[in-house]
Amino acid sequence: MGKILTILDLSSADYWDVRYDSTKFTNIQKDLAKERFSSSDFSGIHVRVFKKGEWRSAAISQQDPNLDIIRKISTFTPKTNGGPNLQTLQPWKYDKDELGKKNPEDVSLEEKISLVRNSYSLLKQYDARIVSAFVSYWEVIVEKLFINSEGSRLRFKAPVFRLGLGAYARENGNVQGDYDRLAAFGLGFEFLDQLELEKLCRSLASGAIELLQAEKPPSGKVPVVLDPDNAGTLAHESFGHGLEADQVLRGRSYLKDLLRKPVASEYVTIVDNPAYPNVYGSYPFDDEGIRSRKTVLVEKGILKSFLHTRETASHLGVDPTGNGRAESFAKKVFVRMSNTYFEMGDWQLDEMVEDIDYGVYLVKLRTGMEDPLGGSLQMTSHKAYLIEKGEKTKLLRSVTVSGSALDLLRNVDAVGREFALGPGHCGKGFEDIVRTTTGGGPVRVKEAVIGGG
Amino acid sequence: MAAELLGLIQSEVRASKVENYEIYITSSNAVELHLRRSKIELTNHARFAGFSTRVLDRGIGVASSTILSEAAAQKCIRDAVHAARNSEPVSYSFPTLRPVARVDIFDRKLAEDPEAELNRFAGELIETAEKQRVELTFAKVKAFDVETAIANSEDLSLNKRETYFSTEVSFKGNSDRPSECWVMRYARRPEDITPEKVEEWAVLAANGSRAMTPQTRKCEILFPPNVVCDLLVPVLSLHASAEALKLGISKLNEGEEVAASELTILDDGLYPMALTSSPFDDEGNSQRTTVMLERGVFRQRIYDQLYGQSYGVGSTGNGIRQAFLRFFIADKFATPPSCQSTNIRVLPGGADSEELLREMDDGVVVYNFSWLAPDEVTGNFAAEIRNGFMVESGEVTTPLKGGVVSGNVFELMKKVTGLGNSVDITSGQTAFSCISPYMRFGDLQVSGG
Repeated sequence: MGKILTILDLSSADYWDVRYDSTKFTNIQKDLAKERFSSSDFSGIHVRVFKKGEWRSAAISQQDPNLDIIRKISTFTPKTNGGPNLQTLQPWKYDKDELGKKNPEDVSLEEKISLVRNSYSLLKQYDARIVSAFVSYWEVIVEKLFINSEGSRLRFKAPVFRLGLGAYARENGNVQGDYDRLAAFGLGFEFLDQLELEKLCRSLASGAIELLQAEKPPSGKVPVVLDPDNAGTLAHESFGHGLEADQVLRGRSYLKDLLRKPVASEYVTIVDNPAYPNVYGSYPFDDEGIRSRKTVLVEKGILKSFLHTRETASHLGVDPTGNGRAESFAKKVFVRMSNTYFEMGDWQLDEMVEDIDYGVYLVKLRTGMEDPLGGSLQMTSHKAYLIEKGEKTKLLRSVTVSGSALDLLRNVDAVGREFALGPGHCGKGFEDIVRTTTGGGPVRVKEAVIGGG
Repeated sequence: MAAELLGLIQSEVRASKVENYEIYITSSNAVELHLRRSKIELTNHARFAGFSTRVLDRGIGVASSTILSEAAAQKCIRDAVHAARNSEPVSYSFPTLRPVARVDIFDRKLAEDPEAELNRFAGELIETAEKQRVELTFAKVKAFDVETAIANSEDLSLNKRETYFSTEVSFKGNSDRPSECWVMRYARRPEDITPEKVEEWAVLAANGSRAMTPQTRKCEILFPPNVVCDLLVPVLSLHASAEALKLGISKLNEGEEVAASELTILDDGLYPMALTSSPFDDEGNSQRTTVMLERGVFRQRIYDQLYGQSYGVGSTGNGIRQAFLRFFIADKFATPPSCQSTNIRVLPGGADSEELLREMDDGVVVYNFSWLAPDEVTGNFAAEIRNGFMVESGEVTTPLKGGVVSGNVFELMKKVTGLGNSVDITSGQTAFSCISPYMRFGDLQVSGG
C-alpha cells in the first residue's frame, strides 16, 4: 500500500482511500461422487478517489507490477459537476487479529478432512433411502487494511467459517433433500469443535426422509408463523433493501417518505448490527473505514433510520452507519446490510401456534428476493407444517409467501423468544455478494398470501 | 499477461517435480460505469489476474491465487499437492491436446475502447428513458476483456481471448403508483442487447403503474427467452449430467420420453457469441454440440473429463467453471471445473411471438419475475410476477405485477403449447446461458387475488 501512495497525485482529490483485501479460502467438499479440496488466495488493492461528486476507482491483483490504471485515476477530471462533498470524519486507528482460541491456520488439513468425512458418513449411512449427501467446509481468513485521506489507519484479520450439510432421500422416483448451514466470524476452530454434528446429521437425514411424505401446501390467505430463518428474510430482503440509502438517492425506495412514521405493528423492532459478536455477517469496520455499530431500523413499529455509506450519509445529512461493503478488492462499495434481525419478543413458539385455527408454520428458507421500489415480497421456505386447531400437524413441502412487505409487517401480532441467527449471502440486486446473517425471534402474521413453492 | 504468467507458473511446477498437473490462468481488464439517475456516479477499472493449479497425486487437489509472485506460485503448488495426497484416490488423467473448433466469442470494439462503448450504451439508456417518459433510477454497465490459458502435463496448451458485456438497469414509471422494470443481462457485445430490447424494458416500466394482481387459476403462460433460461438451465444442467447419474438423483433416463414432442434441446458449446461458447472447456477438452432432448426424448448425457473417463465414454466438453446464482467471469480461475451445461439451446418452432399471443384465449405473459430459481433437484419453482400482462382472446390487456407462478420444470416440459420461430442469446437472473425462443406452456398455476 505504501508503494501505491508514492505513485498517486492526490492533490486535487476531495477525498481518497486505499484498501487491501485478502481472503484466503480453504474448501473441502464431499458428496457421493467425489471429494474436492481447494484453496485460494484472493488478494488485491482498491483505490478510490472522490472529486466534485464523482468517484473513480481502480483495482489490481497483489504484486501486479503494472500500476498504470491506479496512476491514471488519481488525476481524473470529473465528467459531471454536482453533488455535495463528503463530510469529514474523525480519523481513528484499529489493529487487531481476532483468530479465536484455536487458530485455524494451525489446524492440520487432515483434521479438517476428518470432520468432513465423519459428517458425510453420518448423513449417508443413516438409512438406505439416503441416496446422496454432501458436506461443504469453507474456511476463510480475511485480512483487511484501510487508509484514507482523513488519516485513518485500520487493519483486522479474522477467520470466517461456513459448514454446509445436506442429505437427499429417494423413494419411488421421488427425491427430496434437507440441509443446514452453520457459520461464524472471528472464532477459531473451537467453533467447529463445539458443534453437535452427530445430532445435526441425523436430524437432516431424517428430515430428508420425512419430506418424501410431505404434502402439497394449501393456497390462499391464512395466518402464518415464520421461523427465525424466514422472519429474518422478511427483515432483510423485503424490508432492509428498501432502507439502503443509495436506493433512496436513486428514487427507488418505497420507504423514502416513511422515516419516523409507523411501518409495522408495535411488536416489531428490527436492527442491523455488524458489531454483533462472532456471527457470519460481522466485521469491525466497513470497507470505507467506518466503525461497525448497531443501527435500529424499526423501533416498536416506527421507522427510525436508513443504512448509509459515507456518500449517502453526506447527501442526507446524517452519520454513516458502517454499511459500506464491497464483495472483494475488485468491486465497488455499496450500502449493504450485515446482521439484520427482529429483536426478541416474549412469546413461546407453542403459544404462537396454539391461537391459530388453520394456518402454516414456515421452516428454513430456500430463497427470497427484494423489491426496493415496489415493496413487494417473495419468500419461499424449504418446508412447512400445517397448523390445525392450534397444533402443528402435517409436514408440507415448500411454501411461498407473497404480497406487500408493509402489509405483512403491520399484521405481525407476536414475536417469539426463540432467538436464532442464520448465515446467508446477499447480492446487491443480482451480483456483488457479501456475507450476512438474518433471523431473530419467530414472527406470527395474522394473514398472508401463500402458495406452493 | 496470461502467457507471461503461464511461463512463471510452468517453470515453478517443473522445478517442484510435480508429474500430473494443470495450470489455468485468467487475466482480465474489467471496466464498469455506474449511473445514479442519469448521472455518472463511479467509473471503476479492475485489472487482475489469477491462476489455479490442479494436481493429480492419488487424489486431486486444487489451489489458486491472485498474488503475482514466484513465492505465491510455489505456495499454490505445495497446497495443491498436499490436498491431492490427502484426498480420496481417483481414477483420472488430464486431457490430451485434440483439435478444437473456432468459435466467435470476442468483440474487438469492446476490447479496444471499453469506456467509450460503456458511455455509448449508457447514453442509449438515458435517451430511451427520456423518449419513453420513464425515469432511469440507476444503471451499471460493464465490459470484460478476458484472456485464458490452460496447460497441463499431457502437453496440452490452449489459450483464448473473449469479451463480455453486462448491464443492470432499473426504469421507473412516472406515476404516483410505483412501477419498475429492473433487469440484468449478460452478452458478449453491447449490440446483442438491442435498442428494441432496452425500449421494451422502458415500456414495461411505464405500463407497470396500471398493473393488477392476477386472479388465482390455471392457465396458459408465455415466457420470453430470459425466463426460459432461469427455468430450464439449472434443472437440465444437473439432471442431464453424468454427476447426477452418479449421485443417484437424475430424473432423466436415456431413451425415455420426458417432454412434449415439439421440444428439442441441445447443449451447444459452439454457438457463435453465446455466453458459454468456447473452442475448449475449462479442462481443455473441445466443446461441441450434444443433443440432450430430441422431440421430447432424452438422448444424451453431458460429461466432463472425470465422468467421461469413469463411464468410459469420454468428455463431451462440459468441464465448466461456472455456477448458478453467482456468475464467474474474471474470477473463473478460483472455481474448480465441474460437470455442467455450456449453453442450453432450445430449437425454435414455427410461430412468431405475436402469433403465440394471438393463439391464447385466456393466459398470461411474464417478462420478468422477482427471483426465479427452481430447486435444481426436485424441479419445483415459485416466483412472483414483476412485469407481465393478461392475455385475453389473443390480445395483450391488463399489466400484471404480484401473484405467484408455480409448478415443476419436469411437468412443465410436457406442457409446451407453442415455440417461437426466432431465438435470443440470453442470460437469466439466476442461470448464465441459454439460446431460446419464446415458449408457451399450458395449465400452469397462477396464485394471486
